[in-house]
Amino acid sequence: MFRTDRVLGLMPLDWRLELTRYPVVRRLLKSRWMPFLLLAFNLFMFTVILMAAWVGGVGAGNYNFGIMIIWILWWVVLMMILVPGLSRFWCTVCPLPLVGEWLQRLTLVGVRHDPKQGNLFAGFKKRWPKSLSNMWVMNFLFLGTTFFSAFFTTRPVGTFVLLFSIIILSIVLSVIYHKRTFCLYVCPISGFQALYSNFAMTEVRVKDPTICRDHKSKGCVVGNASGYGCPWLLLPYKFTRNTYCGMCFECFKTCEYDNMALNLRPPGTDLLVDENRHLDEAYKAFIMLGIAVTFFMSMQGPWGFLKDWVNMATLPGYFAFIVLHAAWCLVVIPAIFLAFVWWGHRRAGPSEVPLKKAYINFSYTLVPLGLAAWVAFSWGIILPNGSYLFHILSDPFAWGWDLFGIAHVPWTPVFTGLMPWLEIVTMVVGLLFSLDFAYKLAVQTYREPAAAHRAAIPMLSFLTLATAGLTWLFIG
Amino acid sequence: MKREFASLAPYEALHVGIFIEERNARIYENFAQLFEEFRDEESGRIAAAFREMAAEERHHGSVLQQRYVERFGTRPCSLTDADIADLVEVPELTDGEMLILGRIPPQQALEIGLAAERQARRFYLRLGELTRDPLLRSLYQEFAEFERGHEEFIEQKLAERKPAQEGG
Repeated sequence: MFRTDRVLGLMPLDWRLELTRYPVVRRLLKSRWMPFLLLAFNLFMFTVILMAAWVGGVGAGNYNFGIMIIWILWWVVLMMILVPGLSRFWCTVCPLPLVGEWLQRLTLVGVRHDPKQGNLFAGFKKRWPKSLSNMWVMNFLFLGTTFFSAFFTTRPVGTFVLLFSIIILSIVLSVIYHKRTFCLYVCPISGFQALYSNFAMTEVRVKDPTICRDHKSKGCVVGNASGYGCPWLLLPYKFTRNTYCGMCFECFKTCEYDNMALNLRPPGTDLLVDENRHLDEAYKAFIMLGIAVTFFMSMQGPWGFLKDWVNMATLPGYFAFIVLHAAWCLVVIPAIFLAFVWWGHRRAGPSEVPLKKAYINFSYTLVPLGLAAWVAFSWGIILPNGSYLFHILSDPFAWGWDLFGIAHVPWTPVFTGLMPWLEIVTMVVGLLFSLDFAYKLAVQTYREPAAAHRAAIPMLSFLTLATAGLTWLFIG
Repeated sequence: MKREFASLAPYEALHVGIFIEERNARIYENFAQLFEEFRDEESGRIAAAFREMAAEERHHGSVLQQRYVERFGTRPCSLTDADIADLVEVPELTDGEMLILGRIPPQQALEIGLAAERQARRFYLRLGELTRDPLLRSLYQEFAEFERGHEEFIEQKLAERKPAQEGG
């Protein structure tokens, strides 16, 4: 299994299938109507969601369109399909920053361009502070939103408040700061997609780097009459991992040589890209794993007192939840992980690799594991509750409508008997990927094979123990 | 079919040299434009450094143009850098995420230029050693000297920044 040139000992790391070699895909991605038409559809959906969350539904929330679509459908599709399969495709079609971007560009589909001034933008076009140009804001914002998870996920108005706040914040920041500053540095949904998209099975990359090396005008960066310079501030001709690529496909439009490609690839290849790895991304991995555990315990676990704490039944209980949850994500998991990395570091013997470097590098092993935990958690959402979707699609505002004749489909949990098995399989698959990448990262970090083997053992132990613990939690 | 630089006749080499300078000026202008968009003080300094390098490249381009006229008169030549397979003196921003993470200090901008100039000088010196044509050899040596001039210009800029940085 442990081969440094293959994923799970099977798929060559450099295997790629270029989807854009098919003319229909290429034409689609080069068209300025893509992704606008998808955005327009999603804008409509989110308008209904916001309206339903504001005016419709019932107090309990179970039959509210906003809650159901966001927390049953969207979240599950995001974690189970979009992120592992299509990288940050959600960012392609996310309507939340649409108004902000429109205010910057003053056009929805076209390109405002002046041959002398380049792409034209409205607003103050400021640059986000350098000290905040990382994932820390997103880390704390996402963790912060989980403090109010009961409010956001069970009360329609909570869902409204969350989505509306994100829209307003994106508008304000888009007017002040340039391009996709909000998505890059602030959006709480963006952060975990950024990290987990490194595991995704698709990527946007340059086809032939030599063409870019020889190309003078670099329209993909500075923009031209066909499109905008990368709104995500990447240098598309040079980027090597999915983390910050919002898959807006502007680089397909601006590239004069048709040199951008959308590829299928083996999962996880970006986890091995040793560029710009920093503690903020490591903490994103810890926080996501921690939240998965807390959410499962409080939402799907048998501990009633935890539900009360999260639901703010009592103020002391709620504060206890915040303190314990924050400490679990920010201190306990990182500290346990540090202990195992330190153990491996010692076992590796004298080396020039700093402990911090090993700690950050190994933190990427938590991406497959964390994603698996979220997928396993998602089984527990969609299988028991998915049938609610029929009802709310037919009667989005709970006003007694029956648009598609399915408003009276009763609540029917499906395949719940299979759920523990699906969760076990999911966790085992996640573990296999984590072990595989832990070994590869050990070799990458320590170079010398014997030292890498020694350093990998504690990490493999940690990942196995963590998976066992999570599996016990899910099915125990 | 692209040609190797070493296969060029003297007038062609000089002609391509003019275009290389002009191309680099445009690349530096693009870099400058990129950083100017950020509109903060440090990005402004980086942009200014790139603009200076662009002006320097343009100046050298004009000098080469003058030499072409002096040596070859109005002899027509359609060859440009785009027709050459070798990559000579291409300044590159190499970290695809550098603009996101804000981890490019102004001196790095200069170092990008310095690396390109050094690569170009080595390239021309090597060509000079390989060629048997005395006219071409002197031309390549002249190119190498030009690149040395660029290097010195950038090194001087870097040196000017050091005391400022050390002084806080």
